[in-house]
This record gives sequence, structure tokens and C-alpha cells, in this order.
Amino acid sequence: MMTNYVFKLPKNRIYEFLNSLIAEYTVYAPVEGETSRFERITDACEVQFLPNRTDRSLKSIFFPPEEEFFKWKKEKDGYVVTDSLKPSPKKLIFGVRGCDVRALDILDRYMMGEFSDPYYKERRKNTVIIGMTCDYPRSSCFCTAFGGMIPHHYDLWFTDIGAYYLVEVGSDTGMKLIDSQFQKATEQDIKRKNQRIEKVELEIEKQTKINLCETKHCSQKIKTSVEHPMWKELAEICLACGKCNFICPTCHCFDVIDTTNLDGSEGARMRRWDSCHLYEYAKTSAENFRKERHARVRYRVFDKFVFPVMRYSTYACTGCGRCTDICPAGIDIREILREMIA
Amino acid sequence: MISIGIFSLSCCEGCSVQFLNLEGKLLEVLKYYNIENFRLAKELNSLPVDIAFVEGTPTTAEEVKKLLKIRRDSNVLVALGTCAATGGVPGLVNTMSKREAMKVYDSNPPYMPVDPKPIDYYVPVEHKLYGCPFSKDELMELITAVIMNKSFKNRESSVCVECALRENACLLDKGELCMGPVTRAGCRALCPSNGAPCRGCRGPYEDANYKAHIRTLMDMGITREEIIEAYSMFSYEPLKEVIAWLKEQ
Ligand code: SF4
Ligand code: SF4
Ligand code: SF4
Ligand code: SF4
Ligand code: SF4
Repeated sequence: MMTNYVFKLPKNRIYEFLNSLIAEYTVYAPVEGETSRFERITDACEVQFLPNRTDRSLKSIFFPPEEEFFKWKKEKDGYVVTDSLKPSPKKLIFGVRGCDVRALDILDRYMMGEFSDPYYKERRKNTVIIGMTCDYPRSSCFCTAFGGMIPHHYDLWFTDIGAYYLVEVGSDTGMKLIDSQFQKATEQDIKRKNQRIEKVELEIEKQTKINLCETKHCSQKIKTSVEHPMWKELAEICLACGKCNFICPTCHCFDVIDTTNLDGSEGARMRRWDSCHLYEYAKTSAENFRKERHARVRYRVFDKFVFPVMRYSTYACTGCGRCTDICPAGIDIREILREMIA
Repeated sequence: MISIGIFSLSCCEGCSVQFLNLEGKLLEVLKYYNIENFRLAKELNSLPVDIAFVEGTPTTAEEVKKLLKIRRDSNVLVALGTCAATGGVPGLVNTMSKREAMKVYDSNPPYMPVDPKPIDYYVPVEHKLYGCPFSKDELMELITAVIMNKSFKNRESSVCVECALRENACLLDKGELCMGPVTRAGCRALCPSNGAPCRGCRGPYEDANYKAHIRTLMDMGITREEIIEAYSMFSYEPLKEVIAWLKEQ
């Protein structure tokens, strides 16, 4: 690791730099449509320099909402199965925010840890991450509860310091991307960057007001709140639409579906995102063990702040605030946490 | 060969047309199914059949008798579309007195109607295909399940789920009255995916949280009357009690 290597790039060189990346990688970057999201770009001018995170996370690049596993067909000598897994190109994602880099780390644990998902792994491998510091937070952001805006792993990290981007190198791959357009950063530049980050993080801190630092202790507190009256209150207003799960960059549940032609001689197996808020989610052949909505509302919070701590010693939340923004019932995850931790 | 019939009670016959809309797939279906009875598409029709698909809902005593006969002469009865499954649009007439409803006729009304109900009010129904009209994909699912002797089940989640899976921007955020949160999934969120709010044509689903939906809509500034209208359009029969509660708010 060459974490000590710090450079700067004149802002007017960013397009040249991006186009040089496009020549070598399949590049994804923030694009603003009806919702802002990461999209494949083929020219630097398509990139939008947004002040903070996109509406949608990186998740669907690696783990799309619907995905075919394989097809089968009955031939003379039996069934022929064709895997739908295709080799994935070298990817580079530009403009990722700290919360989303952290979310990928968490998603990796679920999808490439003790259980390895070949479809996810194929897309995820060799992905280069170029991150960027937010200019100011969204009203729903609370990443400071999880360590702030700058994650541990990245290849390059950009921070706007006026006429330049300050560029920190986080890996060998990142170092290889540094070309002659980059200049050595000065003490002054680094100080500027630190001030910038401090200022924004202070702003986030002001709207967050949750201290989750003591992971074990906090998760224990939430764990013992099984009977808290709040779960039933939330169940009254929750529509069980699952949108908070689908939008969450770390939610990874899916359902597996087989479709066939009329006699079953041809068909396909696919997966589709699932959500623990849905009535059908915990329905088994024996019984539905989370029939009550309050149990489902609670389960989701536990699966962010209790179970992952037991399994991986980490929360499965990054404070991105997307679930708060998308909830039609106005349920704010921060309010739940404040109630639990207070 | 499995013999089937497609029967019409009071409705717009849109579901019969939707059956023909299977087009190429219909030819596939005909390899396994024999259409014995389909007034819209053929001249000679007979009973009994293995599977009866019934669209619409009885609004006359005659039609009630017709439905009972179809039930007697079939092994499996499928409520085809929302009118048959929940009472659907015909159920709207139950929002007013019969005398008032009959005013649409200039002269004497042709008959005194019976209250439109879902067809399972009169006879047991094995399967329901929701939607106005029903979804072709779901019909194919059912047809395949019958051939392969598998079970068929309706979705027990909302249109919002399918809408979110298509990563649409939510129309509630634009201030539109969308029925997605309380409407049964299965159409792949057809309307919101094309920019129009869901009207609830597939009717409600088991886990729907009406009060939460109503609260959300009212917080958006949508009036009680607008919500009553939206709830009544396709689902007056199943949502009568919710609508009565809403009127008292
Ligand atoms: S739970 Fe909410 S705030 Fe946390 S990572 Fe998921 S979407 Fe973001
Ligand atoms: S169980 Fe719920 S909270 Fe956990 S990953 Fe699945 S959908 Fe997300
Ligand atoms: S987005 Fe809100 S209403 Fe929908 S399931 Fe999540 S908490 Fe419930
Ligand atoms: S547009 Fe309608 S169906 Fe789609 S998520 Fe919003 S409320 Fe649900
Ligand atoms: S989105 Fe709503 S109105 Fe449109 S087809 Fe689906 S259920 Fe019917």
C-alpha cells in the first residue's frame, strides 16, 4: 500500500483523465436522470459531478434486481444446461462516496465470504474504485456514525480543494493510474483537504446525533429491545413495500424462480431481489414465522445492527440514508436508532 | 387434451379479448388444451369442461343461474380478471341505491339487477387471476402449472415491490395518488413503469396496510374524496369497510 502518496490534479484536466480511463476500462459514473445512479459512460462529458451520493447505490452493477442463472433444454440425450454467467469486463467506478465503498465491503462479506456467489464474484472482481469526498451531506446522511466520509479501501480518492482535486492513492492499481498530469500535493493542499472533510463531517454530525461507536454495546442494546413498543408503532405506518431493502446498498436477499415452457422441456432459473418486509418472505411450507408486520420491521433493523455484528463484528449499515429518503411512510432509520440507543 | 371454456358474465369482455391477445402463445396452448366453449371466438359451444374461465360477475338472476351451471359442469373454476375475482368495476353500482343507479337508463330499466359480488360469493373458485384485464404472464403460469401438475399461487405482495424491482422513480414523490402500495403484484407494475399511477386494477392483497396508505396520501395533501374514489374504482366490494371507515374520518 502506498497510502502516503498524495497528488493533485488540476480540475480542467479531469475530462482528459476520465477519457483515458474509458479507453482502458468499462467506466461507471454518476448520471442524473429521474433518479441519479451509476451508469456506464462512454465519454467523460456524460459524467455528472454531484455534490453527494447518488439516489441509487452501486449494488445493481454487481447484483442486478433480476438475473438469470442458467437455461435448460431437453435434447435427445437428456437435458442440456447453459450457464448464463458471462465474463465481466474490467470495471472502474468513478465518483463513489464513502458510504458506498463501505457498503461494497459489507456486501462482499455476504456474497464472497463464507458463501461465494459466482455471479456476484465475476462482476465484482478487478473493480477499480475512484472515490470522492462529498461537498455537503444530504439531509438523510449519517455516515459519521460509521466512521465518516473516507473509507479504508479505495484505489484513488478525490477531494475538491478549489482549483484542484486532491488525489490520495490507496493501492498499487491506483498508483498506476497516476500519470504526468498529476502534480505532487503540498502541505497546504493536504491541510485544505483535511479542513474540507472536517467541515462536511461536522455538518453531518450535527444532523446525526447518534453514537454507534461501541459496536458490541450498541448492538446488544438493540438486541434487548425485542419488546419495545416502537416496533408496533412503526408497523402501523409501514406499507411493507420493501423499498427500504431494495434501495439499501447492503441488502442482499433474493428469491429463486424457475420458469418453463408448457411441458417443462425448456426453461430458465433466475433470481430476484427479495425483502424481509414482505409477507411472503418468511413463509415456509410449515408456517409463516414473521406474519406480523412489526416482526418484519424489527427484523430488518436487527439484520442491520444485531445479526451482522454477531457474525462479522460489523454493522450492515453505512449511514447512506437511502432507506429514509425512499420510505413512503416517512420512517427514518436514525429515529429508530436514537430511540434504541438513547 | 384438457377441455376449457371461457365464459362471460356482466363485464366489458376485455378479459375474453385478452385471452385472444395471447396470439402466438395461444397456438402453443392449443397443443394441450381444447377450447370447448368460447362465445366470443367460436360458434359451436358445449359443456362440460375440465376448466372453466369465468370473466365478469352476475348482475341478473339469470346470470347467477348460468354461473351455477358452469360450476356444476366444470372440474376447475377460474375467476378470470378482477370483475370475477373481486366484483371489480361492476361493484361500483353498490356505492349507490339501485333506484339511483337505474337512472342511467332513459326509459324503464331492462331488469332489476342483483348486487355485483365476486363470483366466489356464489360458488367455490379454485383460482383467481386478477387484473383489468388479467395478466397474460399469469395466465400462462396457471396454464403451465395445470399441465405440469404444480400449484399456482397469487402474489401476496404489492405493485410497489414490482415497481421498486424495476427501479422506477416513485410517483408518490411527484404528488400522484398511486394505488400501488395496496394493490396486488403480478402486472410487473405496468402503469407506474410507463409514468401513470397505479389505479389498483388488480384489487387489494392480503397484507395491504390501508390506514398507512391513506395516511401517506393525506399527508401529501390528497383529499378524502379523491381517496374514496380511487379505492372504489376497482375494489368497492372488497374494501367496503375501509371505505366506510374513511368516510368517517
Ligand atoms: S439501512 Fe438505510 S442508511 Fe443503512 S445502509 Fe441501508 S439504506 Fe443506507
Ligand atoms: S434480511 Fe432484510 S435487512 Fe437483511 S439483507 Fe435481507 S432484506 Fe436486507
Ligand atoms: S420503505 Fe418504509 S413503508 Fe416500505 S417497507 Fe420500508 S419501512 Fe415500510
Ligand atoms: S409509483 Fe406507485 S407502485 Fe411504484 S413504488 Fe410508487 S407508490 Fe408504489
Ligand atoms: S399498475 Fe395497477 S392499474 Fe396498472 S395494471 Fe398494475 S394493478 Fe393495474
